[in-house]
Amino acid sequence: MIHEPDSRPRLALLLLRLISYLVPASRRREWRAEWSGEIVHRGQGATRRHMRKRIGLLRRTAGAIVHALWLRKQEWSIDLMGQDLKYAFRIFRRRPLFAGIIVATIGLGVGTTTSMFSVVNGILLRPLPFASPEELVMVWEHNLPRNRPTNVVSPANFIAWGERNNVFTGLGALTAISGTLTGDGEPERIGLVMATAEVWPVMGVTPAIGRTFTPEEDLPSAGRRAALLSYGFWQRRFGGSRDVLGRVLTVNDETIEVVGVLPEAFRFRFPYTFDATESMDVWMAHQLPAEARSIYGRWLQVVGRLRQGVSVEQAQAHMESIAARIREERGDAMAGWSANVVPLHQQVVGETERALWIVFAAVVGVLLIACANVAHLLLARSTERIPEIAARTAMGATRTRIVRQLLTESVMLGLVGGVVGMALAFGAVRLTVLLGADTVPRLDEVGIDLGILGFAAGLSLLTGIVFGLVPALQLSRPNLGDALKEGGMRAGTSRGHARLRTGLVVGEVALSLVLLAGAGLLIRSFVNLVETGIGVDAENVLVANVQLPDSRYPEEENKIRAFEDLVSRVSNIPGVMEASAITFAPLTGAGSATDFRAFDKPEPQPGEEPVADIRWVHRDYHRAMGIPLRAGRSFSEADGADGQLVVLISEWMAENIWPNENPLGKTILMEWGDTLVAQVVGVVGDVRHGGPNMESRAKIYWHHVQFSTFDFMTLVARTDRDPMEVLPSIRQAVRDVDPLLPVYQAETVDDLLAEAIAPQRFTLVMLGVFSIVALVLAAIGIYGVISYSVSQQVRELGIRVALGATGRQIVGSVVRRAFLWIGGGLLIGTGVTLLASSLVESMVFEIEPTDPVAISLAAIVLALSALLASYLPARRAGRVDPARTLRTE
Amino acid sequence: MPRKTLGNTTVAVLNAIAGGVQYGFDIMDATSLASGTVYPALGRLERQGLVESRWEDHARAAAEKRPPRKYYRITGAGTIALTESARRIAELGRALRPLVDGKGPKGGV
Repeated sequence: MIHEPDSRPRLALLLLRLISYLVPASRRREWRAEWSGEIVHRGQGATRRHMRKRIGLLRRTAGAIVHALWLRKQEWSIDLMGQDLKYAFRIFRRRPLFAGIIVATIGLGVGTTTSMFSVVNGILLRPLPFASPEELVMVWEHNLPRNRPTNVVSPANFIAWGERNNVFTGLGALTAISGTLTGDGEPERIGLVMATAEVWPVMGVTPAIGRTFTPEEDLPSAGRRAALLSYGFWQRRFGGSRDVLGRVLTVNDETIEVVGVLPEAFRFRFPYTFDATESMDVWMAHQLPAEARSIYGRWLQVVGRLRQGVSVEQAQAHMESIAARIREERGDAMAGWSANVVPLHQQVVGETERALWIVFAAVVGVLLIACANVAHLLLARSTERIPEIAARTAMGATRTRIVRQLLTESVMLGLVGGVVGMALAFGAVRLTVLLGADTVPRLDEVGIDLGILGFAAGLSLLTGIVFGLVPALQLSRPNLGDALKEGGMRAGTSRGHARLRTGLVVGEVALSLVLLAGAGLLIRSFVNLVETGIGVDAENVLVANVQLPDSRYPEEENKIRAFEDLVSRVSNIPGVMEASAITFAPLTGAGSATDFRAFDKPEPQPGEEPVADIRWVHRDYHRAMGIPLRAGRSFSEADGADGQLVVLISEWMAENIWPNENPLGKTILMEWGDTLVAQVVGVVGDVRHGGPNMESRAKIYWHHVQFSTFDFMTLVARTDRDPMEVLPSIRQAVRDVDPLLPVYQAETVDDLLAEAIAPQRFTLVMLGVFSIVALVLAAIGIYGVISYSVSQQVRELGIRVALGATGRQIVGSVVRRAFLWIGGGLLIGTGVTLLASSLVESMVFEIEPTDPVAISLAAIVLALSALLASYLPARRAGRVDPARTLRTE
Repeated sequence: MPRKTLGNTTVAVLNAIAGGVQYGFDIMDATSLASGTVYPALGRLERQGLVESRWEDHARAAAEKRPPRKYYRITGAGTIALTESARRIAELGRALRPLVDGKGPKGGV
């Protein structure tokens, strides 16, 4: 272009033209004229021989950008901005209630949404702290006839899966147990995890120090087990010293060698654990022994990493086909068993996901109500300001100028509300974490970070802009001048505005009803849960675990004697009314189950044998726990090791195995190493092991003197005082029997029960709080709309009073109209509630999700609040003084 | 608006105009300042009433086959402001003199 014969500097002029669009439109023409005048003047005579001159010209032209931006900044200059802000702050001074309500409304909306978003973000959206976490899955055995899709895995199947699959880079097996660490210092109860060597590459773990263990160290022949310590345990027990590498520890009387320490962020939540502390202090080589590699006995939890490009569905199909082949090879033993691949994230988050999304939806509902209120308040105010704006327009204010000023106001209100909301969110998140810390997975990872604050700021800014823009644009319409002629005050009662307001009230009422009905449903469901309980008398009962190490209690007999001794000592403690013991106490997590046969019933198809939970109890267990004896007798000292094998069964089992028959005296067969044949001598009440919302199942109780296989029991003590008061005496009693036995996880059954229903309580409290916020906001909204429409109708009302209408009639007519809107909202809300009810179906307990009581209660609460909110302005309308209102016109 | 102290670049621009340099690009040449500095300075000066701008005679521009240029002239207030600024800068210069002469703190200019 430099070589052009024309002497006009075209390139520079083109550049100038582009830059000119940065200049505010009002000054663009003149600006362009001034610059092009200079450029053309300079460019004249600068031909190709004056290359340097032309480049210099281009550089100067480029400098026009700075000038243009400077002008743009002047347009938004501090002066004008300051003016806008001054106007905006005037709202706070002149209309403090109006501004306060808007700020509070936005604050509540932004605060609740932000806090809930941070919870959803921390739990559901943020990836798990593993390398490529989306590839991680858990693989379970799936019992089809019994509909147990996430059953623990037998070692034989785990090995077969590992050898045959081509969808995983590796499969690792884990077992969470607990153990006693002895050696230097006090014996300590620790969380123990057995892991196969594959676990480390599968999870992508790089140890903080040391190394992970190798496949060779995982062989049963490898000798002393290699172990990794959790970061927390390393810090707590060994002060974070590097010398820990190579140390030999004694756990459960077995020596293990520390080869590494896990990274601080490493966290794995076991779907099933025998260790309720979930501390997982020591991770040692599994060394699956040859004799354990059977298809019977399922106890492994399997993690896998999908090969690149393999989807969960493909892996699932592949594993099903492997399971089908294993079924063919193994015959009856595997009948009814398939495999199930579950993404790890889904496994960890589990049922929380649905609850969280529902609560989040509730919060979005709150936000919508808040926005509706803000929109209405700004709209109502904007009609009041028509004369002001019209006057300013008449005096020459441009449309942009007016829109800008109105927007500054609403954005400022939004931002102040946002600050309030963020403060609220900080508090709310801390409260939420406190409330649900132990019950909601990953909740401890939840916090407010910069992203969340950005979310809140964006949200409030958006609220301010969107809800300020509509009234701002409306107010700055060019034909606003007509408004002045009409007297201003009534211009806002146009049909469009009125319809919008009706819509807002109806929508708010409908949304609040959905939330309130949901909360009501959860409250009723929660009451059901608490009232149902788990089938034991939970008051003043303490449970505490004791484990007897094999090394000092090698024979079953030693263990039986020790447990008998323990129970009798505990029962002699002052304050203890009843004492007993059980292996796998209710509400403590793990349990044990197997299939059995009723001798007098036809042999079932392979894979369809009935299954029962198996428990081993000290003879007084049911009395101590307050589990009623429904028929027959309980265990007695006469049911000794040499006597006839006898069992107690649960009511559910009696009714389902022997419907309309007397179960007493019936015989059951059960495989447990050997075939055990026992007679049913009693029927006891059902106990829901996992919590009140679990289904009752068949349960068989064995007298531990006759048959026991585990080396741990939970002592049970019913006291006549606060059970925790007798805990020291119980510890002493255990020490008296054996000073090396730790008592661990001592808790009251009341606390366990509270813990078991804590997730429901968490959802309930969250939804409850949000629905109350929604109710308050809706009431504010209704109050705002009604009082605004009353103020708009002052003249009409005045005329009616002048014509003889009484105050009561006026109040009645206002309230009646309000109720028409509220009724419409209730109707729509009921419809939505019924439609949405299927969403909460899985979350409620022994109640229909369309429960009419919950819905009508919610409707009544809402209707009363709405009535109050519309009565206050209506009363004001009833006191209208006709003489005064007519005079003002 | 209370008179603010003029910045050094603004003073340079004002001084150039007072010296008879009238056009934007000529001011750049006279002061060695960049276009992005000179024009905002002109804008500020004009807003403060220290300079005023006019368009040159259209006929003359047309004769030279180019669009008309805008030129700037100093106002009375501008002259006063320039004098004040000159005095201030001179005082500052006296105060800074030791630095230039190397009698000031170590490392001086």
